[in-house]
Amino acid sequence: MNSRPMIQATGVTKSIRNGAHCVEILKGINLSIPAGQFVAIMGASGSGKSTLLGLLAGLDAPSSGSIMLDGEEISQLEEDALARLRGRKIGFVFQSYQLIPTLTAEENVLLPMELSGNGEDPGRARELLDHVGLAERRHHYPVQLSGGEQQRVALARAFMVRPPILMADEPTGNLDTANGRHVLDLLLDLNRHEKTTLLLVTHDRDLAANAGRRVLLRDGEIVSDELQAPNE
Amino acid sequence: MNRAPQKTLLWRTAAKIASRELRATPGKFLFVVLAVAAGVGALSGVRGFSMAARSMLLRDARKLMAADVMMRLREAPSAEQKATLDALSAQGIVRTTITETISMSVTTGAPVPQMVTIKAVDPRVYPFYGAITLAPPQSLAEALRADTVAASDDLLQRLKTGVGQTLRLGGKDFRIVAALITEPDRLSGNPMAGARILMSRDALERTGLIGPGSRAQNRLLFRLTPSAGVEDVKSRLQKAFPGAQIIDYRETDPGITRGLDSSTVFLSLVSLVALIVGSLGVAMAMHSHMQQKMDTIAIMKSIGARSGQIMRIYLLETVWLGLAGGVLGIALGAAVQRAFPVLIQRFFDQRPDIVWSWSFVAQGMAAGLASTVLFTLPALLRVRRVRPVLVLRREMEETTSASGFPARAKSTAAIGVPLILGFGLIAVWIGNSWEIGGYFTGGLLASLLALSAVAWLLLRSLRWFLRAAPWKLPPTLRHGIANLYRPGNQAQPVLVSLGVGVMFTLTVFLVQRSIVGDIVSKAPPERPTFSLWTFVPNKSRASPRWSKSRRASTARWNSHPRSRCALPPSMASPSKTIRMKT
Ligand SMILES: Nc1ncnc2c1ncn2[C@@H]1O[C@H](COP(=O)(O)OP(=O)(O)OP(=O)(O)O)[C@@H](O)[C@H]1O
Ligand SMILES: [Mg+2]
Repeated sequence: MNSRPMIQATGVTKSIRNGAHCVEILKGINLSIPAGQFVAIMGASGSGKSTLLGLLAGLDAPSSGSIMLDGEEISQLEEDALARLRGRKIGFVFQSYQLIPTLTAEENVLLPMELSGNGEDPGRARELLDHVGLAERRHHYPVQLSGGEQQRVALARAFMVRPPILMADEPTGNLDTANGRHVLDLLLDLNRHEKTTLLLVTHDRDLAANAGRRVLLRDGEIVSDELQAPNE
Repeated sequence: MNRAPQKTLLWRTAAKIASRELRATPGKFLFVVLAVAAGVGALSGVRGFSMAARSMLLRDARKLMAADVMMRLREAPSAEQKATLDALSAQGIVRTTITETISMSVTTGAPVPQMVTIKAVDPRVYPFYGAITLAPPQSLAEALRADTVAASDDLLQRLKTGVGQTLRLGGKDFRIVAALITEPDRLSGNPMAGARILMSRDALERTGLIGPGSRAQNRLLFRLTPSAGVEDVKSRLQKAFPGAQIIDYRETDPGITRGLDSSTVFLSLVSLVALIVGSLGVAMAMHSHMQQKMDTIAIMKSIGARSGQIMRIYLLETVWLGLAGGVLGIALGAAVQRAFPVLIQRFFDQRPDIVWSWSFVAQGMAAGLASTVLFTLPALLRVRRVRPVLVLRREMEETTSASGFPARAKSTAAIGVPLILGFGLIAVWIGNSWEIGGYFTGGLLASLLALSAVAWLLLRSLRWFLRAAPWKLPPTLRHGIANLYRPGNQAQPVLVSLGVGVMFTLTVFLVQRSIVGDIVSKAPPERPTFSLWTFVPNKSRASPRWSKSRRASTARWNSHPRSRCALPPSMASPSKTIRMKT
């Protein structure tokens, strides 16, 4: 095991100026996640889960504190450097799929690799689409796919560049139970297969039960952080 | 891993996204493309026509002068100068003189005198090149005798007369033997449009209009012999007539090209304004388009796209719109070029050929593209301000704006300076002069700043009004007004571009007026000046009622001898004595 944590947050705060007063959304988060761990981040709506995920992924800058990804300090990086780093290190799955509407399923899956400047690997894209059961639909545009299918395309896209970290924000939040279960199974399967570090934000206790560690947020603070035996 | 294929790969994907986005909303950009097309079309049409006209002037230089060499003269040649002319004649170089002057003419049928330009030629030798067309057709030597004239159609109409009738000039009767249809050297003569009379030099003598002090314009035409080199003849003439304007067939007549050039520059700048308005339209359409694509931009950023990579998509879209406008504009320009000669036919006997010049196509396209891209640059650069964290929010937020005055000023300058510089270069190129380009760009910059300030003030005071208003506005109105100054709202740019449109329309109008004034006041002195004064009967002092004069002031008028235009007895009632300075 590598001793260096894959994700390390130290004293991270985020406050937002809302008119005259300042709202502190995150209040001093300390979190260290070793490589390969599957962490579920839980908490009530508005507790700051998405905000934390955004900071850890470098989508947003913290008001104070430091964030290291795979040994690299990211809170001081500028936009383009951050984008590069995201492209290399992080796969995303969002609640609302977030596919590019003007690209087909296959083109969406290929995009992160193109953006990273590592050429294209249509073989891998097809393999991933095959894995999520959408080999037949690869020339379809997002609007031609159901929510569950779109989320499976997003899943394939997230794994395209073999990122060391996968971050998912309520990936099954918009799906019905059966589709949600299917997507989650695929996610866990791919995660095991690719050996990524997985950060999963969810409301759902059952989903969280699959994780090796559960972090509970309340009002912008970590109120519990426990390891558990994942139920498989 | 080499980088080049990676780059083309990304461009390919950007092109895919761009083309699909544009195809999804074909109507959105139609009007702005048409606006760019109008600008490019006008620009390439004007310049294309100007080039065609210039090449025609050169190609037909002999015909347009009706000679190999032409000299404009204000004074009668001195004895010494006559000797030079005689020496040339001895060498076999044929010479003839054309005199043009202005007078009034009447017929018994139309008692109101009409102003006419009289052109007197020697019908035995004139013209050396080209031909005079008369209706009914006849040779010039047969037609023009000491008591006959040919008159232009419009004069015949105005005088309510026709071929076979007589008209009066300088108190003498002349029989109209033909209608004057075309003259090869029409452009070399008096620039005044309108009624014309062609007569022989003998007939002009008979009118008595030419005397000491009369301001007639003389042109000496020369036909060279094969042995007499044009350069040699010209230099001898220049030595003998220092300061006289001498033109040979190898060059265009500056008297004509000066007018052509200034109209070309003026019309080009007007076209450029149309292009600016079109480009501003593209920029604003692009801005609102990108505002709708913020989620796509945020997604791309979240999966590793840098701003520069995303900008390629919208740059491509802009370039394609500019190109579409350009291609349409070139087609339009070709139509304009075709229409132009018809519009100015009365000055050009021969229509200029339509030249299809790839350099003008390229220039029109370049101007269209450059101005479209330049104006869209600010919108394109906003890609940098889209925050990737948008992907985590269900509701979409506005982009962040650079905060604080220095940061904002810096980012404005970063966009504004290259924009103005680029634009200035286009204006310099079109105006063909650093000075014109500079003035034009300065004017644009100043007006943009002024309009922005006005728009800002307007929106500010609206906001203040909304806050301070003691009464309650209806909620719909309140929301409507509040929307105008919401961050990210386009009210200010919309106001500014509206202002630009209105302002330029006004400027074009004013400039056009002042150019006309300029042409009138700067006309070369050898062009005749004339004044018309009406004398009211039974009053001892003359009272000027109407005067049209370029340079003639009353003082000058008085210092010049004037000829009196004697009217036929039927007209000579004292109510209308017209005095002419010719
Ligand atoms: N840009 C913002 N402006 C104002 N308030 C914000 C902003 N972003 C987040 N917040 C506030 O911060 C808090 C945390 O938001 P966040 O989206 O992280 O919660 P969450 O735990 O993901 O909730 P949910 O489960 O509903 O997604 C909320 O109260 C939210 O209103
Ligand atoms: Mg959330």
